[in-house]
Amino acid sequence: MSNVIEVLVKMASDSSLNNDSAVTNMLVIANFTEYQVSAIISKNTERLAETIYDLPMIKCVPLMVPEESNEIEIVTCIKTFATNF
Amino acid sequence: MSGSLVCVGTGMTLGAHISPISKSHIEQADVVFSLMANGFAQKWLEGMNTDVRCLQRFYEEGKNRNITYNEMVNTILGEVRDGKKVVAAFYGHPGVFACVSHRAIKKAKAEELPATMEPGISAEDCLYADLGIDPGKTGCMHYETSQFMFYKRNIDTSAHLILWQVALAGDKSLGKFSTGKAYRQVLVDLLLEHYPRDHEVILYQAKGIAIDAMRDDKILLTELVDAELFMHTTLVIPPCSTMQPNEAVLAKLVAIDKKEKRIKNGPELSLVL
Repeated sequence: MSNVIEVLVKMASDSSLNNDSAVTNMLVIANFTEYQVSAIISKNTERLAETIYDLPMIKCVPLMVPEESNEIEIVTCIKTFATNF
Repeated sequence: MSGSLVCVGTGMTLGAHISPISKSHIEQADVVFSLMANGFAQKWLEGMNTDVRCLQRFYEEGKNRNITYNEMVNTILGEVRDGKKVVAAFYGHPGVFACVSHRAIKKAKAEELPATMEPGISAEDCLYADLGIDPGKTGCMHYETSQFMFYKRNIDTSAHLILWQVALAGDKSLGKFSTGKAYRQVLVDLLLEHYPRDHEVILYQAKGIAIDAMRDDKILLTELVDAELFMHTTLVIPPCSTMQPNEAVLAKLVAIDKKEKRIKNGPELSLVL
């Protein structure tokens, strides 16, 4: 796992990392570059993202379909599956 | 060997909100399908299992989301039918404002394949904590914004009204990633039938990673038309009126109370000499 991700998990789950000083100390121990430390301390998500070369692109978050007219489509899918099986 | 499906929620904030059982399901799965809200969360998931398959590839602007979601469901179910232990991981809660998990579980069960859901901390949970709203105080109504616009609803202005996916307000095509000012104006006009023009509303976004800040921008209702909205922005409308007592029901309850008190105290006795 990327050390940036590990640090984000630690920051989100360790209640002692609740101030800049504690976070900076932890980042120094984790061998973060100055750029990464600066991105984290300034809470700049975009700059932090730049430091992970293969960060996946997210096009869309899961969204609700406003009308549940899809019920019919589900039945159709099941029937198709049963026919093909 | 029979395949299985577990839909899990990873919570809103990366690393802070996932339950131990959901984490265990992800780590032990043969295949993990994912729909995360940001690249960090996707990367985090990929570190928990060697076979994580992102479902983002099915999304296309202009493509009806019903088709997209059915394709996702079919892809997930295909692996379950092949006898694999499948996990579908969704950010937030897998069953709240996320139809893929519900459809996948329903379809799996129809094919007599084991399918369950594990909850995650949802945007709604974060909203109550971040904004200090107790839904039990004066009540709380939740609607998907477009559905709220498409259908006539009884709006109770003494309760909180929370509209999800407000950036897609009025999208009938189900293919847009956001709608424009004209659509939002229709929503504002609808809300102005119930709320004053200067009513203060909140644009809310939960934080996705530890260095994010949650968003709680307070704006006037009429400013919503020009506000910066994202797919995960939620509109919170506080009450603008007080709760009105239901006198008829209260009178019935008083009568019951009196009757119960009489029974408890027993018949009134008088001393006869």
